[in-house]
Amino acid sequence: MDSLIINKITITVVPFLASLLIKFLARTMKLTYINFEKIRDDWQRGKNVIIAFWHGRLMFMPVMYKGNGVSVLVSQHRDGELIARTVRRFGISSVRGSSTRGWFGGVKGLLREIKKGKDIAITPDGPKGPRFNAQMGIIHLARTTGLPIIPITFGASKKKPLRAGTPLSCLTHFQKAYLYAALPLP
Amino acid sequence: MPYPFSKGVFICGSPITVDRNSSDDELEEKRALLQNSLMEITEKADKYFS
Repeated sequence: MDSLIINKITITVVPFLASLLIKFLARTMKLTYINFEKIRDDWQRGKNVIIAFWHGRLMFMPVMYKGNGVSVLVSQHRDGELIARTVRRFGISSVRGSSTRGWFGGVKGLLREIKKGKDIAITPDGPKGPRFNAQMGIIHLARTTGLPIIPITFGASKKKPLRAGTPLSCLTHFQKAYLYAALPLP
Repeated sequence: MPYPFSKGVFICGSPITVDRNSSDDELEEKRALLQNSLMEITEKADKYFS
């Protein structure tokens, strides 16, 4: 089968399913927020912030966000496209660029979003890792803009362990499942 | 990936601001601070329900 068509279907269907899954899970879960006084205050006063979380904790961040608008930095790879399209379904925009590819384009885009009055969300360990290793980019952005960085994370009482090396395995599983379903039987 | 009907916790760390006139060493300090903060709150979040 034409892999371009599969690609196109994947890139449309996966974000849709992923967003449904996240919304469904969030609705069934009991969620607790700890130390959110400061960021809620910033949101109320319309003060912009830079939100930072590990790439592996990205999935539930759209659920947490209650501010006035946020733009997330995602990679220019296809994974980034999947993430961009998934978060768009939560009303979150994205800026494309990363430390390995097109970082400077990313910075320009982020500064533009901040000027528009938006918060910024960044995974400082990037999509490529090394995992749990914060890169310098976010620090430079905080210095240039004067905005505070707010570290945020997420944990769950019962979870399916993510497959090693695939922090976004939720999306990947979907993608694979869909690909299998789309392939013709031998 | 969390199970349906499980419990979830979001945790904020302390805000980190970076002075415009920071030296390279100070920038590195802030980078390490952010990294440690994310490690700390993530560990706290993972242990929160156990």
